[in-house]
Amino acid sequence: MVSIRVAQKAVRICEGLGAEYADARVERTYSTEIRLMKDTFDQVASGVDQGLGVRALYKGAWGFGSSTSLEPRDVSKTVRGALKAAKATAPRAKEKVRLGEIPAVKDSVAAMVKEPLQSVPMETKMQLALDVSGEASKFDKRIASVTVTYSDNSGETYLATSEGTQLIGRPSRGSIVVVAVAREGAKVGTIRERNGMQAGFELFKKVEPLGLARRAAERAVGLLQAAPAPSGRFTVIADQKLAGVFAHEAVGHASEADHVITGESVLRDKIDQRVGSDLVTMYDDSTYPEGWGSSVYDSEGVPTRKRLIIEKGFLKGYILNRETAARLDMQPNGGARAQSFAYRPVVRMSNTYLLAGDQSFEELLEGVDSGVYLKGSRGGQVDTTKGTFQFSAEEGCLIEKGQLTKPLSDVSLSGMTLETLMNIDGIAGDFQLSMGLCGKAGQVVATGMGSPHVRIRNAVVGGK
Amino acid sequence: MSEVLDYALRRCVTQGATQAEVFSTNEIDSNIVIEKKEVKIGQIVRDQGMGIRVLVKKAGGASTGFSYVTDFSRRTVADAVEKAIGTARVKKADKDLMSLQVKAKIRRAADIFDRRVPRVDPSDLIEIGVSMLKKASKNPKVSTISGSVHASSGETSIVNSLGICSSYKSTGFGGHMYVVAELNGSVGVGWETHASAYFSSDKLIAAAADAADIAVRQLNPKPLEPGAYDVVVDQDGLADLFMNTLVQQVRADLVQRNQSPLAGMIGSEVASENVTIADDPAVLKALGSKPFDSEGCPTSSRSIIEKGVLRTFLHNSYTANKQGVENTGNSSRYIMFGTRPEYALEPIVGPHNLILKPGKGGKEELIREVKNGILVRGFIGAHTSNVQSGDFSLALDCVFRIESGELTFPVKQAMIGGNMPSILKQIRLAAGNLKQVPMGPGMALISPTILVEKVTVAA
Repeated sequence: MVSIRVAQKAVRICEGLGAEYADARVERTYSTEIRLMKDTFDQVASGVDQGLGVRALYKGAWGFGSSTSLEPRDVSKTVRGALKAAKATAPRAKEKVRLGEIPAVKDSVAAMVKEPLQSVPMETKMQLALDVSGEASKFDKRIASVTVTYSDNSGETYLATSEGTQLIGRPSRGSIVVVAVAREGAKVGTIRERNGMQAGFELFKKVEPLGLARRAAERAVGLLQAAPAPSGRFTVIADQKLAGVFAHEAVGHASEADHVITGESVLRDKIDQRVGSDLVTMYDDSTYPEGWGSSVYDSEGVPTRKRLIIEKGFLKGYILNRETAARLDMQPNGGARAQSFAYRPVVRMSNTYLLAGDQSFEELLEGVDSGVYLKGSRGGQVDTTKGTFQFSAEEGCLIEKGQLTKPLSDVSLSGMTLETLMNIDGIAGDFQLSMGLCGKAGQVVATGMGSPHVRIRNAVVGGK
Repeated sequence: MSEVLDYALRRCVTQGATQAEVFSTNEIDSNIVIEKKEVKIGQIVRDQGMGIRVLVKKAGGASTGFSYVTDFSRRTVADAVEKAIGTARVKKADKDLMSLQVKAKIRRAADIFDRRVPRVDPSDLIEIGVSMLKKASKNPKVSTISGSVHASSGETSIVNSLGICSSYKSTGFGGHMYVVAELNGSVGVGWETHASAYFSSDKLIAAAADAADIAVRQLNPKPLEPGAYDVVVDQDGLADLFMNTLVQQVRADLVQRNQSPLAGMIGSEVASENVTIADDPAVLKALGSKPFDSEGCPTSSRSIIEKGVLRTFLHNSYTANKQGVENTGNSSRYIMFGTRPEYALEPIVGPHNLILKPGKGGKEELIREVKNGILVRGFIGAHTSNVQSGDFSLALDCVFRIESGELTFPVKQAMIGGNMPSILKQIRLAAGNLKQVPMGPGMALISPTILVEKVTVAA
């Protein structure tokens, strides 16, 4: 069975085989995934994921091994595999890995749970998905399809390190995603709304799933009236979601220290230099109350914190794990995360956001003679090396003489990250943090992204 | 191993399932990560799990229930069986759900198991990584190199209460290299990939050299005038675009729900006559080859688009039963975002090896055909495509200008908007340079570089 003892045993075997540092994570996770398309359940899965992940440092080189089987024989094989990999890497490693110093901790952290997710019958969760879907479908007869995804997971996690850290976790989180598609003739509008929290089943009241459903449906129907967007350079106002995605994708990824060290970041060698306008202050904050990406410790057992990335336009810090902290001669700040035991921890964001300013949305609008208001995000991609980005917004609206006029669809925002940060000349006070899922190094973790409304001068808008 | 699958199956039936199926994979993946011109970390990942699916008959039809575990203890398996049956009981009856896959004769598979691969050690991968680095760092303008090498071997098994009891072994080998070149403040990025069921370090090392070459040639890019261009697209980009559009559009499950623009188009011309696309599960050394699909149905080769005409959609047991047609053996377990082991998912529909029929000659000869165009290696944002309408808006990655049959300069920034399947009508030529690119677990695109005519490009 899973326990801290399995993790400790794995660490001891590693040390016995000559590892200079080792850590082991043992987990057992119960998950539910329900995907409902219209009124058909595409997927109703309950799962048990159990396993061990071991990291061994040998002569300055890492090895990693993981196994879903916790049979003693397999644990031993996994540990030996990790060490074998480290020993094979060591002679080739030019720069020896050092780990930033941290105090050893013994602690136990549990999510605040009123109604344990595992105690709720599947039927109740399926009914919730049906209710959400029904709410969106009945909003308007032009709603052609609704997809609802319900996910939850909870369980036990154990981390032991050769430095004496012992952490026990009882995570619990859940989320709901609604995608509404409206159709009228050949016109199609698609909108996604989602929200999630770290809590028990009671979270599904707090995230107001029916409200999400109505909002998705309303916005999707709204898109049917929208015209294709113009292309060119405009003054842009980005809503909280799109600006949050920009903060995460374009700036956040570039502030991850592994990218900085490998040279794959436009923010490398720029500490204390100006990278944005005076209005720009950005954090990556693992301590944000009830944040989707919050945690007390990271996957290396480092206490997390609120990390200042940009202060009034000046770059102030990076997101660090122990290795990158040592290499950059900085203090570890708890930025290492792994999707699960089956993956090694890598430098990741938690809740990344632009700090609110004091203007109102109307004040942002007033300064715009001709521009585009962009809302929501369909995703996009970023080249952190070159510092370029491209995001597709869910919807938009033309701004003429300080007024929102014509609704727009198929609109994207692209540009250079640093130029865009410099061109931010208005920040509202209406901050919102929203739920995200971030992919990096083949791993997906829960991240929060946030921002108030932001005004950007001279931004590149692409229409269809 | 098979003992615990049998236990799960028996338990399903004794606990009240009308039919049951247990799908399992057991895989070991060894890989190395290359960062900053250095081999960084060796990893060995062992993953085994089973997905348990039951079918419960009830008034008005039947329902399925699903559950998976990576812990094979009897107690956990018994709990999982109970959950799967519980789910099937509470789901509304589906009148079209008739049966899980019935037993049928399975032919021998193409060779997809390379005996060398399970013997590959982390140290072997590291040597390959070092050779890749050596090749890629020859040019002094190369500033950063990252990449990966991996070798995996595994066994896929399925048992069901209708008598199916089969398994096959497979291997995989591949990697990628991402190279950044710098000169006087200009940054060029190049990448290349290689993947096969068989071990072939030479090809991977050659890919590393190509990635570096592309990175250097991407230095000092110039802007492109917006307008209509002939676009030459490489295989990696095509695989990304196809997976997010065409592959989803030929899924019978989505067609039956009217969520594909190809619904009702069988027998119609959906592409130019130069386009022939087949799904072939029996290609030697191909990552999508397999003797049976993820429900245990024997796989076979199908023509999907023949000289521009849509011939068939891909079916699993459910969609075939529903429509009263032959099951094409295309049950597949995957998700579109992130990674999830196959055993953790209920089957949907997907291709094995999607093969775009090649033409003659190399990529250079294809480029020589182009008067006014661009060469595109990859797309950014293909996952944001709208499957249902087929509309996509893509940023182009690694772009070169083609003028009068010659590559003339690297292009700074470019975007295209378009629609699948409409764009298939603009495919004029294909080269003969077949390459396989993985599209998901057990899915690959095997295609040449192609030429798409008159695409509107924004800059």
